[in-house]
Amino acid sequence: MPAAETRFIDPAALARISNLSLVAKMVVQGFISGLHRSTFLGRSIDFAEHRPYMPGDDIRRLDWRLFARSDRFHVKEFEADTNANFLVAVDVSRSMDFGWRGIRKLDYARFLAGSLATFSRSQRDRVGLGIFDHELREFVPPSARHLETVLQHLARAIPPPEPDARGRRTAASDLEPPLAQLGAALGRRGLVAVVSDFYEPPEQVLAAFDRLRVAGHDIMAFHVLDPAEMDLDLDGVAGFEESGTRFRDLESGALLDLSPTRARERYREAMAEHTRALRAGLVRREVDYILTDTRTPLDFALFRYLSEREGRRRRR
Amino acid sequence: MSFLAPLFLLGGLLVAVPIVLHLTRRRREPVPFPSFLLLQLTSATARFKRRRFRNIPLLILRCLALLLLAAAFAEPVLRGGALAGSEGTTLDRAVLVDRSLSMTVGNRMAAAREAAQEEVSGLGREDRGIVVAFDGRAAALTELTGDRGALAPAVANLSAGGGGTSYAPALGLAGRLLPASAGRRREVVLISDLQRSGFEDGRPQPSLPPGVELRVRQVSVSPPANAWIADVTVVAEGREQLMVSAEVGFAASPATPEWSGEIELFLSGRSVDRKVLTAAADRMTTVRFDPVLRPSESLAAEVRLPGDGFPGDDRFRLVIHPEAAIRVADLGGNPPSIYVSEALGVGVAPGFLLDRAPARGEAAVRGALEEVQVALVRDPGRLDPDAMRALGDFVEAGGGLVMATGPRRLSRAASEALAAFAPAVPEGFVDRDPAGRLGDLVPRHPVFEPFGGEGSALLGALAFFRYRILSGIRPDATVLARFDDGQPAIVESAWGEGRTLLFASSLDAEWTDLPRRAAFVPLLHRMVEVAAGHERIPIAYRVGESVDPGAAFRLPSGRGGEAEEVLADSPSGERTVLDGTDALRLAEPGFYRARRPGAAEFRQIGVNPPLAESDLRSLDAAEVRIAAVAAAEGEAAAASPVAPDLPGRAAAWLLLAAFLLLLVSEAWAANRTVASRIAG
Repeated sequence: MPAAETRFIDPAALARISNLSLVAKMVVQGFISGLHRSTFLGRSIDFAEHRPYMPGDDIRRLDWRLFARSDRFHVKEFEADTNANFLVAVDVSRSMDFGWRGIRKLDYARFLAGSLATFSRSQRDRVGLGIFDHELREFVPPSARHLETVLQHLARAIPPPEPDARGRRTAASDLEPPLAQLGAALGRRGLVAVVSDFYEPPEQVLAAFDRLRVAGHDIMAFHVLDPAEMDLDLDGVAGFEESGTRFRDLESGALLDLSPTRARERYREAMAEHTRALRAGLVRREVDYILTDTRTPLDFALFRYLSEREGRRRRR
Repeated sequence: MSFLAPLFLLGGLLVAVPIVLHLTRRRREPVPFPSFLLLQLTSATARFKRRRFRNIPLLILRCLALLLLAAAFAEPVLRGGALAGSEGTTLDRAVLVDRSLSMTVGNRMAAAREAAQEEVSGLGREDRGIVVAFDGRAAALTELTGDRGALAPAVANLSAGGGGTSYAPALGLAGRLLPASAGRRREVVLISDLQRSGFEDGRPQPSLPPGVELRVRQVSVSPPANAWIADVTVVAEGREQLMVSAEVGFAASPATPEWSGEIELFLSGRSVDRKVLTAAADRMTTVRFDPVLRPSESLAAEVRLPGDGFPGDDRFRLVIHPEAAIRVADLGGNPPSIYVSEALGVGVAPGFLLDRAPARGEAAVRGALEEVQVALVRDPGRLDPDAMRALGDFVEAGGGLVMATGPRRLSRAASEALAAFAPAVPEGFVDRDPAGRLGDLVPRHPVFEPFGGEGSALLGALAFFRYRILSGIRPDATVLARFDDGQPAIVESAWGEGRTLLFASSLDAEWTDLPRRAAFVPLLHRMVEVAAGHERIPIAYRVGESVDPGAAFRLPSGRGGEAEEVLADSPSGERTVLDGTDALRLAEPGFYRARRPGAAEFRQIGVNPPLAESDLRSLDAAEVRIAAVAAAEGEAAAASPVAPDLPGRAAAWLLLAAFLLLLVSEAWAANRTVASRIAG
């Protein structure tokens, strides 16, 4: 993962803004202004109308002929190039309710999903939303008018309650049932972005994506992780000691005594193996796999998203 | 090593505090983690054995600091030899068990027996032990032996007696019973309630020989509230009656700040009177019973309090004797002296009976003196020569005469008659301004017996503004006291069978403040008693006293005045046969009985617990240790300067210094731990 550049917005700063809609717009607008220097333009070829030039508009879209006639700057608006369905599926299982030295993964996922939806809507896509843990909890079908609904549902998305005292598993993520439900619910082929920490064996994750793929959807997988869980480095957390720490599984409530010092190398290897297996399996299935941690600016993630999308178009 | 205050070692239990803290602080919330999916893959090699304690070095520091503090307060005494390992591992141990009356309080004696059994059973195979029981005296119950079978029964049979407490004899005996021998350590274990009175001033101070260690085991700490009968007096109440009064003391406890109950008088085992008494803490309260008839024969009496935490001192036993009051004739006692009549109106039984008698006429005076033991003359100038001669005959025949001086001058004839039998003759006045004082007393004379010790100040405070010069002092007379100008004040002499005491000043208040002073009543009483030849015999005795059985029991003299055997039975029935010269040691409270061989009638005396036993306040073990060891340490240091004992204070200070050092280390270590946590 490339290092974040300074022009991107720090997710932790965004986390201080409670209005998800505003966050998404800030991210997307910043992202679009950044696209001025980008090679990815995202244009359509079907002209729709003119509109007055606004600062920030690409000057290459100025209609010089019209300027010659009217002595005013106008840019050309085109019809959406895809008018496709875009659905973002967000994992709200308890494992997403984790964050150390930054924002929670769930918040990051909400910002990311909101930004994706906002950006897609700006691209004239119909946007929809799926919220799931081990089952599909919320579903907003893609529509040109559903952006606000999507953002509202995202803002209200909360993880399920804590496991009970006996550690009974309550709401761990289980991708296959909700993705299968999504596949069935989405009538028209479209682009599905799945945002999750993918804490399942890779073969189960891949099987879940297969349920979506058979319906003909293009899929992007955003693998969101906290930096602390990537390195097993929780130094500073109350109760954490390098020599020995008792961990509690957020999903099951199970306890585990472990020496982080002794386990760290092995854990990193396991994490690398896990992401490698996911990446390899998803790439084989033509699923775009984007691994991001919660320190990565959201517009950078959008950049990755757009990059993957343009690449996909070119491959077509 | 031994400890002066081993109870403080219990403070070592405080180590539980840091241990618990280090355990409880461990109980933190576990660290939340998103999923164990990958973490579990590492657990096979990375699981750790969960430590029960956190920051073990810090915990050790803290525990060590607390243990040092407890040890410092316990005041260890380290023997130099023991440190150097020069003394052998075998031990000679003397177990001193207190069996004084105060050990009957609560379960003190049982606790003492238990402690003694522990000490005996704790002896090693090569060790030797000896059991010593003590109260006011000490006695070895066993020999110094390694046979525990001989020691254990001696301990088991121990019981508290009625004696007082004195530690010096016990420690002295123990020191003598433990012979110094190479390779053997000597130890004395004192098991007692550590009653403070056992160390009071005036008693021999306990000490141990050098090289003998002392360990103190206190079987009781907090004394119960205790009411006790400190003393009982019997005073004459007129010719036919006696009044019994008791002094009751009360020592409060936090639970019982005040005491109230009935005090009862028994005569010959029959209750004759009872009074309700409320005793305030730390004060003596006097209870007067209703007058009783003067008995016709010796009568055993007892004053009882209801039982309390210490029943051993709730009874006072005494014997009231039938003797009549000392009859005194006040010659020329008109007008009567209110001071004299009041002073002689009270008095310890048998008391005094004062009659007025004429001062003139030989026949009248002789008649007046026929029934009396003592003639009292307040102003000899009132007596004519005939009366004076009759008085001389009275003295010669065995009567007693107490003569003061007065304003009237003696006639020449009366002076000559007086000079024939009296120790001196009063002459002219001496006026003193400022007042003269008494001094130069004959010590230990019966007249001044009530003024022993601090009481002598009472006599020194008397002011004499006028007195007569006593001239013509007979060679066989004794000047008992002089004024501060050297003039005789009280002169005594014998004449025939009788005795005369001549006082140079007045018994009325014109010439001196004596009648208004506290010294007046006892001084007059003693002068009359000495003149009458009356010997005071106590009405009650204390445990620990040794008495002449013939006098104490008022036994009839042996044939021909020779000493004769006495059979004495103790209250517990133990019979002692005493020859005529033996003293009887009173070892237990109760009524002792005695008689001459062949006599059918027993005489008895009442014996009561030592008064000091009623004071249940105890000493700190450290005080006992210091008192007993100090002398030994001094001697040991002189004898063996190379390996001196390390006395408790020095060792304690060393431990305190170590404790402070550990405290600083602990603070540094704790700060470092916190700092590293914050930095992390």
